[in-house]
Amino acid sequence: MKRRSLLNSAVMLFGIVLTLAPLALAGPLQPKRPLPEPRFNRLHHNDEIFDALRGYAAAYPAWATLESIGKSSQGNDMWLFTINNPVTGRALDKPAMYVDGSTHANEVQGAETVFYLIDYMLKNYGKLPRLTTLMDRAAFYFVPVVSPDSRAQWFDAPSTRDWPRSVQVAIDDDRDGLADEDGYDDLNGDGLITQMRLKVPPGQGRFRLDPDDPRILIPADENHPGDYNLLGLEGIDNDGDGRINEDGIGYVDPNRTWGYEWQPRYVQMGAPDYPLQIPETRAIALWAEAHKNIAAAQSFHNSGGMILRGPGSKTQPRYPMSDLRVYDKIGEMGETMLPGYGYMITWKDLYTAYGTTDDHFFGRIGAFAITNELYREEHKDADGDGKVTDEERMSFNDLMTLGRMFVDWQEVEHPQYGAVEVGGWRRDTGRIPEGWMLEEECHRNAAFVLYHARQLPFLEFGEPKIRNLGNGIRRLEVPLYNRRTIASRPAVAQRLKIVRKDVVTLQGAVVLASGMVENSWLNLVELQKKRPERLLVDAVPGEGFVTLFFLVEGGGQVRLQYDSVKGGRISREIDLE
Amino acid sequence: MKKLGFMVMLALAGPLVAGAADAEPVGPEPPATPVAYHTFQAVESQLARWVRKYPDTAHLETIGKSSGGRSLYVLRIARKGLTEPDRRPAVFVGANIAGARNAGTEAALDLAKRLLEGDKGGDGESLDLLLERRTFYVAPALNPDAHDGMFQVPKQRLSGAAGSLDRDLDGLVAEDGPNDLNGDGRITLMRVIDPHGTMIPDSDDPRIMVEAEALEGQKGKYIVRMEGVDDDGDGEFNEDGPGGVWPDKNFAQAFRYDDPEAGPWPSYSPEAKAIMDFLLRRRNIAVAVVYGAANNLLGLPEGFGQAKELGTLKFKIPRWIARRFGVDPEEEFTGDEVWDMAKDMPFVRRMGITKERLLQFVGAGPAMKPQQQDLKILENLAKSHKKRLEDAGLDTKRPVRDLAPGSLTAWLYYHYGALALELDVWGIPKAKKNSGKEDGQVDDSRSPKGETLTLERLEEMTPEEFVALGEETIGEFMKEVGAPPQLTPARVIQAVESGKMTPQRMANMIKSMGGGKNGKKEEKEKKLQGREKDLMAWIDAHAPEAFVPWTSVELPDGTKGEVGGIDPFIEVAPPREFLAKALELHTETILEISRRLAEIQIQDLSVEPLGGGICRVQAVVRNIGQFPTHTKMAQRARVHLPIRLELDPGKDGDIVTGRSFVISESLAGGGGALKGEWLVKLPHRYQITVRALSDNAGTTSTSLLGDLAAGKISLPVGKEGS
Ligand SMILES: [Zn+2]
Repeated sequence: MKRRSLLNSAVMLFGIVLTLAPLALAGPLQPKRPLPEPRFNRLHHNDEIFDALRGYAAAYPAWATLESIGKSSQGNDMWLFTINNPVTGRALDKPAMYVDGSTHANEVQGAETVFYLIDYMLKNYGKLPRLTTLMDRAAFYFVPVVSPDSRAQWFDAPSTRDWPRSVQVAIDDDRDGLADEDGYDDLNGDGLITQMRLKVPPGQGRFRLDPDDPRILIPADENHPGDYNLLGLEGIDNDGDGRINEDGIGYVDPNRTWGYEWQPRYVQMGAPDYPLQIPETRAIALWAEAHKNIAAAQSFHNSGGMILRGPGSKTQPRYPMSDLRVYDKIGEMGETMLPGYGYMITWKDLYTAYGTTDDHFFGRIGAFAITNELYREEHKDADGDGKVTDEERMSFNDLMTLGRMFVDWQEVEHPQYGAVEVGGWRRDTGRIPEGWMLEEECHRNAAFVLYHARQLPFLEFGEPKIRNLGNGIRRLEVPLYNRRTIASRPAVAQRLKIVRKDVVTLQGAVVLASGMVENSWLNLVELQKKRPERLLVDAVPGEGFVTLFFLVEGGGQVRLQYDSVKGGRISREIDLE
Repeated sequence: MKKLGFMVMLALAGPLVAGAADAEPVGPEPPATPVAYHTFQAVESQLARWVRKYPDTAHLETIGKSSGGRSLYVLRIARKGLTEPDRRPAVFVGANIAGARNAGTEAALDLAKRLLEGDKGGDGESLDLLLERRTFYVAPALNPDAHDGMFQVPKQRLSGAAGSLDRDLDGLVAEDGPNDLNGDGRITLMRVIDPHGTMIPDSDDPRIMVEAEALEGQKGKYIVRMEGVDDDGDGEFNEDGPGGVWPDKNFAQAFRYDDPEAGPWPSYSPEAKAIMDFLLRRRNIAVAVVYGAANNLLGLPEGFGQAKELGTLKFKIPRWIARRFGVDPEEEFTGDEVWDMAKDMPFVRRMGITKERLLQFVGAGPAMKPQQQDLKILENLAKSHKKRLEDAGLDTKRPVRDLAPGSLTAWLYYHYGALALELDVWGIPKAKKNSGKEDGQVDDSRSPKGETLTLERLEEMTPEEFVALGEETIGEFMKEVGAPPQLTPARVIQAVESGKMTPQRMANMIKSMGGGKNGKKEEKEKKLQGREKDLMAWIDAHAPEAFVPWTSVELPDGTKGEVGGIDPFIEVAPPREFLAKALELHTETILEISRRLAEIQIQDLSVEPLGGGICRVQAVVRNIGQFPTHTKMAQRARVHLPIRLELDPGKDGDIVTGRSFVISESLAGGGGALKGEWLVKLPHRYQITVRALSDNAGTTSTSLLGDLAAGKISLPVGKEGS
């Protein structure tokens, strides 16, 4: 008993776990410059977001950095924003979370969610203890806009709710030897690409006007012959091949470009010629390769209300059980935090996709990666039948947005079809909430990211057990706990050999042997065959522990250091006497 | 409207430029030295000399830099012709991306030399003409960082580019590579007596170490490993040597995601990326030959893994589509069943979705086996290639490697859409027969007729073709797939002849029993290992210095061991003079390939007035080459443009109905045709132009000047256009 209490006091004196130290000191961060004050009830152009990020970095220079990690297809910067508490160590020495948005440029509110999260974290550090402790022990990396060229184009040029989805790399979609020669055309010059409809002689159309609301087309039937056809999105046959809009700007879908379990274009639409061919995702992948402390990742897309995880394709090997448990815990909690969202597996519940962000970050970096599909249109389902009809959309448009969402039909001259009507839903509808709904969804998803980040490995040494074997030899057992769900080295990282083992060193004594205690009571120890001074550990499991074993020669103070790529670096002083 | 137009070199555009005389040589010729392998630096200076000496024909492009900052070169060889070199049907020859395949570099240089220097007085004339219609891209050293392993001290095979890896995941990089313990300048083997040892010297030839056979009463004695010490003291030897990612593992087909040497993702290595970026800008390349570790003419490529082909896959349907189809998302369906459900859905018809595209969407995955039609071309090439080997007295029966996962060649075929093959240039011949029986065992599974039966071929055979194979071939095949012994070839033939059994049903049965999958691969591996006896026989006869006698060494920890064994390069790069014949005949094979490439030509152009200025215009484009314009794989992968025949009705001309062009996904070799027919309104005096476009079978155009009053005009179009 005596030894025990002695030992405890030694721990109190020397064994302070470094990562906990600043907690008592933490107060809100004091900005050195005026802070950006964005309002999250509207969408922001890239320029506005990046200006704000510059503002945060200037206000909190020690905590927040903005750096360019490469150039986009059109030569714009790929901005990476980092939040790290400088007092508790370097970002690379801590478990980290990566968050990105707007991989699909048209899914513009993905970037808003990341922007919101950054703003929220920086302004609430030191005020909210749950957030503060997390920011003390983990680093956060953000790429708010993965596809900056196209997201800018979405705001600056005629665009649709679905386009531009790809990056600005010219591809010959229709295989005629020319690239991007037949895209959409803004026929009525209103700065929007909407629909075209054509009035035809009765009996030749598939639709007719809704008698209650002529803005809406309804299907023809035997009693009501159709006199309207939908011609698709605004455009003409630019290249004279008898097709309209078949080879528009871009093609490559950034979320089919990543480097794990990738497949080419004939296997899946949207793929480039080889993985990470486009500069946007290549820049991120190269950067991430040097930041394997990332153990959690989240990407924001729209729409549908989904919490997606990989695998993106059935052909991939089944995830290791221990990794699945982590995913399920996070995904199921997500369902409760994000009303209406469903936790799903990409290939099984959505579609097959090869080379997605999730697959890359899981399969190459060893991080638990999730894609959130933001926004569900179900709130427009006035009669609650589970379907949103055009009538219900129109009523929402008229009553709640006073007509903002719909562009009335207008007749224009079309070079191939003659007089057509152009009109329909604006680009910022259908996949994006109205401004007054945007902030809530940003917040809920930001909170979910923080829950996800809370599961990052959290390593703490337990009480050492020391036995003097005589002749200056001591036997040392030290438990090492992981207080959170993600293992210090996830099973996938072990299976695919993508993250090195954890390394334990002991300074201040000669290590004669080292290993892992399998059963302390039965005295079962798995010894490391050679090089005992550098003990290699496969992983500290999530919400579990391992016990380190050392046979040392010497006494007095020793320093035990645990170095895990994803679990961070911790150390503690131990008094061997 | 944007103007439609390919950048076409009109057949009419320029006079035919006959082979201009080569410029005078610039600078002194290097002194004649005994033939030796080229170091990377020697490759560089050779390329530079050629470019100076043949400025009109040789064009050198640096397509990028290696990890170690060395240049990646492609030498383009083409003479002035009707079409600019980068749009002509072309052959790409890339060598030694594997790193230690220096014989490949020699072969690539031999080809370049032959093309540039020609055969004065011999077929030099026809080579000049060939170079006016064809382009050769020759990349002699695609892994320069590893290229000089055979010249460095100690001599060792390198495959990785500059850089370092942490293969053993201990957080240290490249800390434990091989060491030259006996100071002979080579990394060979090391044997150490060890209680865990499983190896013993071979009883026939004690220089060779073999696995002890317990059942033969043998007992293991030695551990055999690469020459070296446990530099990092972790108990493992040479487990984390120098070098970074292996470029020839860094391509996307069958990429190994769990192999640190393959790199984190395909295209990560600067070598792989530069090569792909270059090739993707040169879609005129129809055939690609890689001089590497595999040999696809002495053994046809078999594809990768157990991945099934489209016909045998089963699919689950994503929940949201299953709802539309009204089926259970947990149930699995065959491709045919999925297509039956989908083909009449309005969205499928409206969007023109094909069966293959739909199956891809539900997860059909990539091709993992070569397509039958493409194998036929290789089989045909193999015939003439083997003839050349036999004439030169070189072995055609030695076991060879198949394409490696993630290799450049695999990418060239499966992703890039070239007819691609790899050749190892030279290999240790099989030892002369000592006892017929033993040799029969390792003989490859070809019948005397040279025919091999594979599961894939079986599936496509008619009953008559199957029976015609004969008992011997069928018997061998049945043995290979593990058919029960009571099923004799004679009984199988009888069943097929009587119609009780078809080749297709037989193939399905074999597949369902799990046969025919790995057996052959494993057997191949076995043949590649245990070749020491062949090797020793050859060494004894030709290069005795390539065996290093076992001599004792002492390791730093006091352990006694012996170092010795076979020179690391002898198996792949023999003393340079032994290569001469092999190089010459490989160059011949490349030349043969280049002459047989697909090439399109416009034939039979006619204008027939129908009255009132309305005319019917007809034109035919044909493939006058021997190879098809597209491999079957390129068609599946849709990586090449289709063949396109288009009509320009000229000034004041107008196409009355329809499109100005027709397309075809492929034109067969030996005259495969695409016909276009247009109704056109033409002025009295008209000039129409027909263009035929392809990206790797050339482009050509023909104009016809006429008068409506002259009635129907037909032009049999000659070889060079009109
Ligand atoms: Zn998306």
